[in-house]
Amino acid sequence: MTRIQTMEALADALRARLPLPSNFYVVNTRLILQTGVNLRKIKDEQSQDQALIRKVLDALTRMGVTIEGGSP
Amino acid sequence: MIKNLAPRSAYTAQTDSALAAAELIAGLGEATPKLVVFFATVEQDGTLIGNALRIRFPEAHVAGCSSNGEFSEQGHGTGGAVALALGSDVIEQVASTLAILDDGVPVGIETAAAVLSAQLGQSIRDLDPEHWVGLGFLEGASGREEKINEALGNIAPLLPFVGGSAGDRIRFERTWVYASGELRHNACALLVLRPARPFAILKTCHFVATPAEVTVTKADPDKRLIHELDGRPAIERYAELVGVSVAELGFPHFLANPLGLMIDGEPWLRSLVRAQGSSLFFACSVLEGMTLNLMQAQDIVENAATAFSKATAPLGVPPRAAILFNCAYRMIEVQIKGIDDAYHNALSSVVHAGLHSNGESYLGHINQTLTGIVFS
Repeated sequence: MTRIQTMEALADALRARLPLPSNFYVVNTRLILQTGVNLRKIKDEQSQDQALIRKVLDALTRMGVTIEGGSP
Repeated sequence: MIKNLAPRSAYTAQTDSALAAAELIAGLGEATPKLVVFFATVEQDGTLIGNALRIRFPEAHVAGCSSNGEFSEQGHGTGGAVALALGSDVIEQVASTLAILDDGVPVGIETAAAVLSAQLGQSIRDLDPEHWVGLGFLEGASGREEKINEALGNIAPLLPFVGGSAGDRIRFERTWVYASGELRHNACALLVLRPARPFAILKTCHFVATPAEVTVTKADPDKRLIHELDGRPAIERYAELVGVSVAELGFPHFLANPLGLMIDGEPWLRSLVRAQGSSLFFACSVLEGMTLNLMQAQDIVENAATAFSKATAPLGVPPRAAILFNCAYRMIEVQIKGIDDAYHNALSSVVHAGLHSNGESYLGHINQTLTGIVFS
């Protein structure tokens, strides 16, 4: 299991996990509203913020979207 | 024989609920709809109206909620009711239920989602968002819309729910929703629809972002409070942005100058309600670290006039019917300007029913926006 180290890696992993490219908009919008992180427009200070990465991963987990395994 | 039904709306100004129900039923005419939605001013007896519609249209799902005012292409006002009937030429499949929030938002939404899934014979989590859409009439008086939208997203992250918060003449005291033959106050009415033809989610506002940006540096999202903007007392920084003194700042400034969270170039409006000490109380939660733009108003009637065509342009087919959720702030603006007839005329190219809501929803909670589902 690879540990996500950067927000960019998280975004790539999420894209790979979702069934369709169009799903990314919906999930990303939910993440922005819940965490303040836009995975399409990652701020420099967010890129390697481990606490923020964990917050986004936790939000995805609550949605049942596990980056390291499973499916939405 | 089951007849198909062209979309049909009805409006009544009757404040007596029995008379209002009778006028709605007469207005909807001879029909066999699959779905009937209704919106009625909060003092109306929603149980009476909902049950009357269920008796008249026994094969339809009937759902509704209280409003700050209601409108259709047949008329608009506050105190009465509107209804929209959609037949099998518009709606192929429907599920509906109440999400009762007495044991908390997550439990209420999870329980309701299980009911919706059982009605459809498949999990709502697995529904294809190209063909399905969620519709929510949210409890609108207690500031839980963010949690409700989050709970819906946790259950079905790929399925968009669009809707709005039930109204109560903008008192934020008690709203009601109706579904499955029951009226509840502490609840949401949730529906999942499979339209028969292409459909579009409508989310539009008449504000554009100015270059003026602020960063939220201290906030209490659960209380929808912003304490600091750019490291300064929120009220001072906001007054500076708007160009008035703190002493001059009042509701007209709040109404005309919302802040916007810009996502991929689209504004997600956060409307100010009042000052609270040196903090600002919003109608929507904002997180620390978020950058917000000061927004500038455009022509609200023009915004309404182009709403349907813009929403359905990607479909390549004209809009035929819509269920609409119009922010009470938009209602106030057109009333103050004396352009409410022009505003509603601009929406009237399409058969519709809508309410002036206590907030709007699409993936999350938003303000000062017109949301809805547009059917082709």
